[in-house]
Amino acid sequence: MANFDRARRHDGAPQPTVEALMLSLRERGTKALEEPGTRRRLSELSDQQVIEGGNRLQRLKPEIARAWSSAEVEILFEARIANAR
Amino acid sequence: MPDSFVDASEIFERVKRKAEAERGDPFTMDPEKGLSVKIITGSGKKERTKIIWLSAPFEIVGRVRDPKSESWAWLLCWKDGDNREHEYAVLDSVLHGDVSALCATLATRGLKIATGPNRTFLAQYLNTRKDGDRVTIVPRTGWHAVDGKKVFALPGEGIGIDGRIILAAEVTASHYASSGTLEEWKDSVAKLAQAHGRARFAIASAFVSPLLMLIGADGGGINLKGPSSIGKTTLLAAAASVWDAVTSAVSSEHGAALGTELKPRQLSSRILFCRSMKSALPAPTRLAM
Repeated sequence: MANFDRARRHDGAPQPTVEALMLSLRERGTKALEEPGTRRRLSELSDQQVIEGGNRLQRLKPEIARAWSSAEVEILFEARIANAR
Repeated sequence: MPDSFVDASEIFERVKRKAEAERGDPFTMDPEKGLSVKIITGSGKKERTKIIWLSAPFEIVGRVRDPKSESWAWLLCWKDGDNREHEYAVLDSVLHGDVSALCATLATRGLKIATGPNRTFLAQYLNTRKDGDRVTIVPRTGWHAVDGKKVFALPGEGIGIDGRIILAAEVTASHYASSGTLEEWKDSVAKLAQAHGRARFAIASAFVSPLLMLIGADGGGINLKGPSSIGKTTLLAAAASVWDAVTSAVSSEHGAALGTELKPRQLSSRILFCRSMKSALPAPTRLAM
């Protein structure tokens, strides 16, 4: 199982997991990081996927959702790193 | 794209560095037990802390580089099982290569190091230290230009430089030594030679060699000629006392010529004493003279 987790972390999570995470963050902002499901999904992503997610959240169009500030992306990454430990 | 957009990879790196800094240095150097690293595995309730021993205690003396500010290294110092002190400069480039070869080199010199994959932490430890005192490494004794200043390198020290100077390994066993104090030398050798012109001349010749480079003059030789037992060797001993132990300089019987035992590189900017011109000096030494 540990080997499987390591392999997944290296290759990243499947795209549906990434999209589910994006949806919760887009809808509920940094508050979503308090939810166990969001934290679990965040821990499954590779570093590259998390970085891409940070860029996507900053580029959100107003008609879809409010774009994240760099300070909010920083909170996301802090949660990710704290989760990884 | 909003005006406040910041590349997320930059933010990620910043957050990662901050987290690492908050976590603190995982390495501990205990003066008795040596170097160990703290490893945290798992997270939450499954978090476990493991302490892994890496090596016997050693000291990082300083940051080594050559006069061109290249070949950066860490100068390490430790005591072996017989309590004998060892010094070794670990090149930064080696930390990016085969760590097992580095560990073998240090172990050969009496530093106990963990075996197996854990020894890679040793390279990580050295790579994450903060810069310390500066040590300059030079390929040979004699004159060098360091930071635009002329510096005279001797084994273990440099004249005209702040900080330590060390010689590359191939010449560390050079024929220099010190004994007593300058005052004691003045009160003994110099005082006895004071009344004798030839003795004063011999001693003065020992001081001349490092000055030749400063005035751009070529090297040369002085031949003390005369019958046996009139004091030629005594004059050599007096002159040799300027640079090294008298016995090591002139009492060598085998080969008669001291030059057969020394490489010219070891005598850079320094006088070479020979007891007999009849003994053929090796070609490189003749060239150096």
